[in-house]
Amino acid sequence: MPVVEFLQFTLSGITFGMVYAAIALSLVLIWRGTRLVNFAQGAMAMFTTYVAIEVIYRTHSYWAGFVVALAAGLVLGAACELTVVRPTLNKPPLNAVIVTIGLLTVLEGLAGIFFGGQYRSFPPAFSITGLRVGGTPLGVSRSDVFVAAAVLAATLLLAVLFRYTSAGLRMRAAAFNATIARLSGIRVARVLTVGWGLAGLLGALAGVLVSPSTFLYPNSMDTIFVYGFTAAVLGGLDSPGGAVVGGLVLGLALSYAGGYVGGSVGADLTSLVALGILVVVLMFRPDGLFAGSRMRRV
Amino acid sequence: MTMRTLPRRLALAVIVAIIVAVVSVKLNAFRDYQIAEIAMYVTAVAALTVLTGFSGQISLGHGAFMAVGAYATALVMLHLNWPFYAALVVAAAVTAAAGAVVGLAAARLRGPYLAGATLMFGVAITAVAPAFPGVFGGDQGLNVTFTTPGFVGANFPLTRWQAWVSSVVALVVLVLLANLQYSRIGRNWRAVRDDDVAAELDGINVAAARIRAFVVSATCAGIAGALLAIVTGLVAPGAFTLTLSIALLTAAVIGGLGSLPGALWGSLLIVLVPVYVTDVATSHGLSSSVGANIPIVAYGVVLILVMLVFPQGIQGGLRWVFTTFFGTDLKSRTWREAPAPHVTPSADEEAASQHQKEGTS
Amino acid sequence: MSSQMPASAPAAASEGSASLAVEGLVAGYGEVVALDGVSVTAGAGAITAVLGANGAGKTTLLRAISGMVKPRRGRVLLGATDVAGRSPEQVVRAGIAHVPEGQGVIPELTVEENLRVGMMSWRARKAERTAALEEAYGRFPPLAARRRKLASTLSGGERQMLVIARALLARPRVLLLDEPSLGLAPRVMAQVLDLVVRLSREQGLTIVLVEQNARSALSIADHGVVLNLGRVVVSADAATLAADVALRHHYLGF
Repeated sequence: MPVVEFLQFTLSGITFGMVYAAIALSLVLIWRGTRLVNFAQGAMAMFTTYVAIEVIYRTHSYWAGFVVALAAGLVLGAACELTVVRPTLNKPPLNAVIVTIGLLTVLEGLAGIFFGGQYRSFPPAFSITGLRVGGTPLGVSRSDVFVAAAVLAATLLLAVLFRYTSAGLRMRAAAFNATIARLSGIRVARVLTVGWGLAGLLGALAGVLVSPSTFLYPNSMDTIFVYGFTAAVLGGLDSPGGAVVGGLVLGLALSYAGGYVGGSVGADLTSLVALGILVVVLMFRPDGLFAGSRMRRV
Repeated sequence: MTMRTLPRRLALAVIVAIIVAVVSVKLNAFRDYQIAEIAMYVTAVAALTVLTGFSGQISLGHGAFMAVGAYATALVMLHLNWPFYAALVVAAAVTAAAGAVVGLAAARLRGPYLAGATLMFGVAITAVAPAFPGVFGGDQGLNVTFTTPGFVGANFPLTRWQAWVSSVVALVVLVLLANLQYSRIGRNWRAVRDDDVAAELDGINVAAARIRAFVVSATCAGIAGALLAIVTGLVAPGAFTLTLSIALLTAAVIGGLGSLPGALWGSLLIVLVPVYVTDVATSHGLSSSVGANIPIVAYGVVLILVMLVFPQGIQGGLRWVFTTFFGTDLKSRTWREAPAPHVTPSADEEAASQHQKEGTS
Repeated sequence: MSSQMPASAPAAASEGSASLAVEGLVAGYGEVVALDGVSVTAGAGAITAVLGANGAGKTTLLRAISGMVKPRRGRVLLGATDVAGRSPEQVVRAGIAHVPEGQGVIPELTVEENLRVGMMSWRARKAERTAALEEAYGRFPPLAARRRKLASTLSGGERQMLVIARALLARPRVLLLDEPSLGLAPRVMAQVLDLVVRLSREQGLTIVLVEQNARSALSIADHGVVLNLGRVVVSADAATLAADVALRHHYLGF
């Protein structure tokens, strides 16, 4: 039935879209704080997911692995900022890009060394049997619902953190005007580290949520990163809300394209569809859908 | 000693060509192949230097332009039986058109938005070939036959001929790009790169300059793709992954963005470092999962270290070495180092540079 | 030109204020040396005006004091402590608040959030911060009226008020003001300067005031320092400076 099919594609699109949104959100966090794109975000997520699977293997507890992955993401993000990104902050911006690309390469290589290159399966949080409503398959499972809910919860928590806490105000002030922030006593350097840590946590979340579908191998997060970055660009790199919207739009569009066109041609078309959406959006809004007006002082 | 005049550039190019010719005779076939590879990368990285270093537009999808050039070359040589130099012209023309299209679409995009768009462009275009296996040969790709011409004799090794042809093409491209760099077009590019609002106010047609840069850059990348076709003999989707596009950008920045010699340093890095480290790893007999990955880790570490130690890239580092130890600035800097394209600076930098512009008070 | 207080009335230095002495400060940007051995003393509780033409080094002086620019040589003495070379976060904690010229308000934040940013250098409990906020609102009613509005909706004069209120919330002993009246209508400018005078008299705050408009600055200042090309050319009390016609013409343009 066409309605059921549409529903299935929609729900599946939302599920993946939320994963892209999580990556997009982490990129937005880093962009607002340090004005650079972290190309290693996907690789960091891959690495923390490997850590999770080792924990799960040893403790036989999914949730232990889940929590450890998030914690590892926090630590890894902060560590990367402190060691490798900090020195690039007053240099030409492309240097930081290359450094994150180097980081990406190092992480993928290290994953290959420590964990091996073969594809590994990653357990989902809940059952993956399709849910049904009155006998009709919905096309999503409990696990998929958890994916969407987890990212949504993380987004809301972040929003609360930023808007209502002192720590959040510190981060916003530092992002909007680092000079004023410093003159007011905000330790901007520390704030940046925390920002990267939070981004790492978000990426780690995306990693554990999507790996059951993609399998886990050193390059498994590459495509997810590309779509996450695209989602962030779609929404506007300064806009957390835009990241979520961008992720959902992209997830839905790719799901419909893959579903309706179908077959191997459909699969190859997905990146073309993404390109098409991106081109159309950027044609009208060169700074993304939710670009604030940043006026240039001439 | 500057490369400001055409005779000087031509002289340098001829000298380099002769050196390459002599060296290629002395070296074995594998080394000749590496020379051809390096020449190909130099062409592609120089293309990116024009776009990113000269005109300030980032591209994460230049592998796609190489793919277009490579496939065009392969199709022409296969189906029309044209010789390489004719195929080269076709490849250049086709990629120039592609560059115009992309440049037009990208004319209003800046910084990370341009990066995202070109990234997706690179990914999407390389997905087209496998989608039409009848035309493009699917995953196996198209085979390209390239043979030595009759006049060099029967004993002339193919790899040496490949090295020669690639090097000549690369040198010609470099000379032409150097001409552009020092011309009014190049000056306009730098003006647009440094401050596009000011450039517009100065009467420069910013959009036209940016599109022009894309066309030139894409053409050179397409030429590099043509070289890839004849050097590797195979044009398949697997050769044009995202990794390639990223490697090109990396090479351009590491070599020294905004300088054509930087294209050479960057290319040497991406061709030689992985090979060297792999050699070291295999000679120590490391297990395959470790041994295959150590070069990857090492390459990443090199990228990070070079960027941290030489923020202006290798070319900048060399310049620093010359001025520090020889006391003179060898190249008279009539044009500034590329400060890297439009990414909004942090508030700190903005405040600092604003104050520098306004003058101290 | 507003002036309710005679410029020569000496301010009583109350506890909590401190003197600021800059000795032999050398600072610059890259190859440009903007301050070439500057020594200035701002007496505790007094208003010291720093004057001079564009490019004289006035803004650089404030930035070198607050840590935005790292001095190459010299000392910055707050009371008896040398804070030269410290980062801005540390300098504000030591007791020097700097209100930079131009956009000091963060327009993307609300008025209240801007004020809260001013208290970021504290280690205080929520109750103390709320009390301090209420006190600030009491002193600056226009801010109270718009506390939940975005700072971008404020007028020029209100923004200046916000910026000064925020700096005051850091409980400084020394306040550096860089061109507080820049871009403001004359009436508003007068109000701002009036405010500065009140801060000095009522709280005994040591104030260093950089102003392009030398006439207005000298009308409220106790002491004046004239910079030219990174050096101090004159240091005298404000009345003397205002009276020296030749000097005024040469360096101050009036």
